[in-house]
Amino acid sequence: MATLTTGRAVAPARARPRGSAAERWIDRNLRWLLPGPAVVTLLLLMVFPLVYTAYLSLHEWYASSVLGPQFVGLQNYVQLFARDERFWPAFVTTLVFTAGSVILTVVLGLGIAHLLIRVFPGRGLARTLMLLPMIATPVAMALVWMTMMSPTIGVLNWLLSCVGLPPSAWVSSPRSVIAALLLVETWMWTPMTTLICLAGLAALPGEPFESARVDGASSRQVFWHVTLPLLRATLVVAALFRTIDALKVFDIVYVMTEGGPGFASETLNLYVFQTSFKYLNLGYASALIVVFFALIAGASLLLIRVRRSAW
Amino acid sequence: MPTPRRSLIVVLLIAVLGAGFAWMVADPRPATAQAGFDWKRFSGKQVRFLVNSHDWTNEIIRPAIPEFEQLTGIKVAWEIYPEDQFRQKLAVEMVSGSGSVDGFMSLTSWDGLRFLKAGWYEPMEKYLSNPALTGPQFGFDDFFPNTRQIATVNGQLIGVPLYPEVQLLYYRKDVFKAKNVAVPQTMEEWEEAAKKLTDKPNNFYGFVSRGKRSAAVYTLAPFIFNFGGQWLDKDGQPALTSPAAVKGLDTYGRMLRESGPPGVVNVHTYEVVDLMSQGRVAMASDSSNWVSSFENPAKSKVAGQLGYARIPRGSAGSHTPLISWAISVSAQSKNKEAAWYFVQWATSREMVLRQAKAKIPVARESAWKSPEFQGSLPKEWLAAFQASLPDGYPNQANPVVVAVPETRDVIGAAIVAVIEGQPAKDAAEKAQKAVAEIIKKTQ
Repeated sequence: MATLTTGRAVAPARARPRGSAAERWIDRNLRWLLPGPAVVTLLLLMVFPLVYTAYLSLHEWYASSVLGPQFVGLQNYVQLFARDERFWPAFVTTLVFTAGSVILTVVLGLGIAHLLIRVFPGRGLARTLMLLPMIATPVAMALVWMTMMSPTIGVLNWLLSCVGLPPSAWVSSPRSVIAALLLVETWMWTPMTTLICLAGLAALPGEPFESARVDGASSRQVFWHVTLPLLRATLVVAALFRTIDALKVFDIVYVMTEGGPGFASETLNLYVFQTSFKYLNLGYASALIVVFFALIAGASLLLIRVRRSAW
Repeated sequence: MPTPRRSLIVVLLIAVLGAGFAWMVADPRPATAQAGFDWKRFSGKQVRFLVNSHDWTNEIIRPAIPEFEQLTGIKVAWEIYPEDQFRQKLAVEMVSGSGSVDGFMSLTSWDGLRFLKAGWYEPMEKYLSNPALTGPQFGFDDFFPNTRQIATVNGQLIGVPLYPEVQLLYYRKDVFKAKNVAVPQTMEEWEEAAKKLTDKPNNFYGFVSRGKRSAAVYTLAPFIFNFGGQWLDKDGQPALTSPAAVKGLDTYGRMLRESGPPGVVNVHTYEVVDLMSQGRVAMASDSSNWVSSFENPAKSKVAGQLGYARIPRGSAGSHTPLISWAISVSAQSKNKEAAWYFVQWATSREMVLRQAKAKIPVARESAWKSPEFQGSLPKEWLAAFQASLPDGYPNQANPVVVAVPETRDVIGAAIVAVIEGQPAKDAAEKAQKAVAEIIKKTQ
């Protein structure tokens, strides 16, 4: 305690004799100056666009219009919630897709991680191969899946016919398109959840497992009553990442269906893209983005709260 | 505080610049004094064009630009972008109002009204009628009359049309012969033939056209026109619920549902070309542009076996959309005359003939009738195209409104719904309401 006080008292005394007034000013304000550039960059790159988007969302503005943005108050939001025939379907599609994607990738990821954590010959190779779908470029993979799902020449329908099943329309029917997209999404993103679960499993302490086994628990009981509770925080993190990613899904849907057939697979992100970059309707797109942002922020906060309670 | 030496430099600089300016102003260059057309009149100027990627922009014009620069002394920046990026880039530059763009391309059926309302087009009439700006050899009369209509938006001539396209019926001669089916002349025969030629167990289908949302609007158009319908009524309101339009929508959806390949709702023009080239379908209707690709044995299994015909006629005749990209001078340009010189040169008799030699359809009659063009493409295709031209509806690939992409998306959704089996009347009513709303909001 004593040393600490003297330390504080002595430091400015030592700095005073040397240096000009500017140097002393810098010295005094170092804690503001050093993070300054980072804070300014953050403000410029993140806060400004956000605020500007919110500002634009209260205006009507087409990028090709001769006039600048016209203030319309909350009209964009009224239109969006009350009259837009594409918003609510896109909203529901986004939620359904996200729920499906999170559940499938987390459950499969946990299962596969559980297999890969065991010691067996070729484990390194298996782990590497497992990661491949995640490394590949989503657009290229979406095109490959498109070819495989082609109703006339695709290999998937041929495989179905080999086991005596009727052909599927895959992404070419409003009824099956979401399931088909979820198949691709799951294939592409399960490796990520596997990786997270593997890390979580590897970091678990050994003692609870040993004592459980000494107490005669079956491996199923160990999984449900020891592994899962211990892994809860990890699983929530995996779900959080996947939720944010899946809510924002764009590449595979855009490449494979462009939101079709009709608007059957149009997600919010895709609708925002069409509105801003194809229709050049920037005011309305901004309103959509604000709602979309609120949705993602809300979902993230919810999951973070779940994670806190898990500690 | 300037030192004496620095002020001397400034004075000298001003003197040099002043002298240069005086020389430029005094340079006597009366356009009429020369016997021929004065191509050098705007020598030293610079023009910048934003253009859409296409064989014409990439392979005909780009390599020839040094010739133009030599002829006129005008420097040209020729910036090529893929279609979507092209529109975004153009919008950003034009909205900033910097005047840095001197000319641009536009697909008038798609962009025309929006660009016109935004005031981006420089009206072309006064340039064409001024002999000091337009050489006597140019001859705008040489362009097919209907193609000149493509470059006319709301009665205003806004540019020069480049490479027109109509829709044609592509059919497999060998299959028609083997199954003893005649080439359909009417809409009824068309549907009949499609049914007869479909052989689902063998994965062979009678007819394909676009089924994908926005894209399908283009190929639906002749079905509406041939029964006597139009996209818009006289007041510019959607006419999608007229009996003719509903009948067209119904026929189109039914033909694709019953005689089209599975998954047709995901078929864009590229898939139409694939299915035809792979020999999976007997008939296709799409843009006339695909002939080179169908006749190329490296890309097409059916090269040499294809027939070309006009779209079969309905009670109101046979009408297809007639569309083309056009090249225009920007109303914001500071070098409009120089930019017009470039447009004039790029669409001159000689350059259009070069385009024809590369098998790109042309809007000039002289180049169309040239032996090089006539000899390079199948006779049947040439005949079908030329017959379709006078009856084509300029720019009617979709309702010509300000907000084309939105409008096409909602009409496209109706097409998908009908293909999926929904009643055409319900789908048309829904689209009618949505299009009316879009027009109200944007016009």
